[in-house]
Amino acid sequence: MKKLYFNIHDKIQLTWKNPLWSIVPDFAVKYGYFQQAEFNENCITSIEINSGKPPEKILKTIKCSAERFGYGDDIIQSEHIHGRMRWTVWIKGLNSANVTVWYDFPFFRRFQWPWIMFPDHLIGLHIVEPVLEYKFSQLGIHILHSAALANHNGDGILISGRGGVGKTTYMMKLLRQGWKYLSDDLVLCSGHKLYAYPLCASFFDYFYRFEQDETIKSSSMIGALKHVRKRQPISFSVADSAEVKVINLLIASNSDQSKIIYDGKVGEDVVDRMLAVDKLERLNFTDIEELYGRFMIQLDQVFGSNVWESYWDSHKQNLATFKNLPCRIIEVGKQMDAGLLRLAACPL
Amino acid sequence: MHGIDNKKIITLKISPKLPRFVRKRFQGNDGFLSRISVHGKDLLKNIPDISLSLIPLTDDLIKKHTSNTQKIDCFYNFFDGGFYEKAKYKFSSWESMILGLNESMDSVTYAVRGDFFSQWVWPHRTLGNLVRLLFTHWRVMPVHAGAFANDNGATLMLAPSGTGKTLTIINWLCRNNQFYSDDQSYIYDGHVLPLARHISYWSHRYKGNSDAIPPTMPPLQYAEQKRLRNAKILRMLSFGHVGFGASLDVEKYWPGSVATPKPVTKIIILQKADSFSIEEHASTTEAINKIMGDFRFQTLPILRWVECARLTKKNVFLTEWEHKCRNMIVKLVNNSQLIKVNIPSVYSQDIYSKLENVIK
Repeated sequence: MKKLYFNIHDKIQLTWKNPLWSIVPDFAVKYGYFQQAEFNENCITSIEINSGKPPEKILKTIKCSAERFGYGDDIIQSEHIHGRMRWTVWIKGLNSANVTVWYDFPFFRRFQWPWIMFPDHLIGLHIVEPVLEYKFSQLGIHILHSAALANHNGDGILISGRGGVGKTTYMMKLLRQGWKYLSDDLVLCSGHKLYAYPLCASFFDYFYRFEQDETIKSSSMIGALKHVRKRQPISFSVADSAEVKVINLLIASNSDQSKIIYDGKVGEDVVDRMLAVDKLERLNFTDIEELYGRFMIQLDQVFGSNVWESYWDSHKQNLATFKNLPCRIIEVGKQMDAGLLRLAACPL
Repeated sequence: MHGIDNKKIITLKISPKLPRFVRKRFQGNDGFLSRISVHGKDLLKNIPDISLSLIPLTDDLIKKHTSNTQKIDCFYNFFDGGFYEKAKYKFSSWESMILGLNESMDSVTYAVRGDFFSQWVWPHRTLGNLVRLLFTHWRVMPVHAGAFANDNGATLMLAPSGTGKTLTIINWLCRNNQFYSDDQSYIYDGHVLPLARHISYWSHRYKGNSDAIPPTMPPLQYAEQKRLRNAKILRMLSFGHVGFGASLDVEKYWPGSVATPKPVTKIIILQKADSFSIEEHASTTEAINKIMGDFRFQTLPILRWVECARLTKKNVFLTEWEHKCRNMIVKLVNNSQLIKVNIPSVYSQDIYSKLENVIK
């Protein structure tokens, strides 16, 4: 039996049994930094991903055997439907230290588009990542939608902002100046401590093309597929963790030039805005039913828990520990230019 | 019983410049959008007449309000008094802009353009949520529940879709009872408003279960039969991506079955199980979480708009929206009796008769 082991900062041990074949080995690329040869017993939490149905003994404990949702002793069953992709998931021990997940879909479905193209990507996006994020939140670790960089002293800079505002562009410019890479999209955060996650810059996303003048332009679907074949690794030095020292918040605007709209310490207002950025990330897509936002909302909707509100309360408390750190809010102009870098230049 | 003067109408003005397929979609027999009309003018006397205009989105409008930097699939740009949204759903994509969003919220303009397929998507995804936002602003709370009228008041039936709300309503109506709606109930000041005029009837869901529909069900008329046939073809052609049911006009199939507004007295929470059972005292917090979770699931785009308002510090009145909705739900749950009902996954007349006792 083939097994993939991922050890994420000695916090979560992810074991993926019998991963599916796929043309784009997305999950392995995305989490490649964390992949290890063996099971690591130091981790606080372990998650095991299995394909196929759980054993009869466990299935029998599901009292409420509904078509879409059901639950039993310590187990949740839900059916995901997205177009013609449909599969059933069983999660056992969601609130305990050892979580076991099973997923199952009809045999012939796996030969249809888009399963045949990237099944492990879909399983990762719809099942593994929401469960990972849920477990992280239980360990007091939050996932911020920010780019993060560190210098050789272990001081970190956090660049928060909505998708498309220029986080990656800005990050690339700082990488050229000798900063180390932590993240360009999501970063794990516990108190002031930042941890790299999932360590794959999102210019590997198939919808972006990275050009010589370091601007990112969206490309057509066909252009994007070409890019998948031709994608080239970009080398940069990587950091594992860092301490937050400076915060930059980027906001899109209609003006021609970038400008600083706030320069001072982190206050209630900045915390509120950063929280909005993180919430928006969970609510970003109109057509995909995965992601942590949906997972949380579905738990509330079907099982009557209070995951959504309590998660954001604790997330806000974590952000509130950033108070009194130096902070800049920058309105990004129509032209993403060198001016942005000058404006955001940090005092570190 | 419900004369035209008893109606309170959100007027939808449709620009003649919109493509024909969009205009056709929104025109009722009388030239108005007849679906968004609320009975019970006495109850809603504090609410002004609201006008919602639908116009085509032009390049000039976009140039004025958006930035060039964000060329990604889905994005939202907020400005004072409205926002621009570019969205994608399965095969279709559309752009829309909402203008006139301010605290008075009485005349809102919705500008839209999109591809042919998006005509089936944006009315639900964006326009529907804009209407929900207008309703909640004026304290009319949409709840994803079926609503029955009985002698004492109204009974709400909460359930995830596919549990059997519509089947119960159809059975209820075929036994000469009154109701409010089968899917979305609108609650104002603790009273259910009889807003829905149609029942969505997806025949293929009940196929093979002859015991689900009562024998007294009126036969489907030609228009509905045709629509269900088209739905079947479209479902096959799109490999299950696109689906719709027939909407049965309540006045045509069960005349006089829409009740006048009554206060909510009971809330039934339905869930699927192996066998039928009733729990008399359900937990209040669980019910609130369920309704709130369901409400969030239905109004994801609005949640996004609210967070954008919070991030950009524009349209600040939106940031209180979620809190306001929660308060309305808490008040509703606290003032009514909660009952939890487990029903087996195969619906039958036997189950209905047990449910009927609970509803009454």
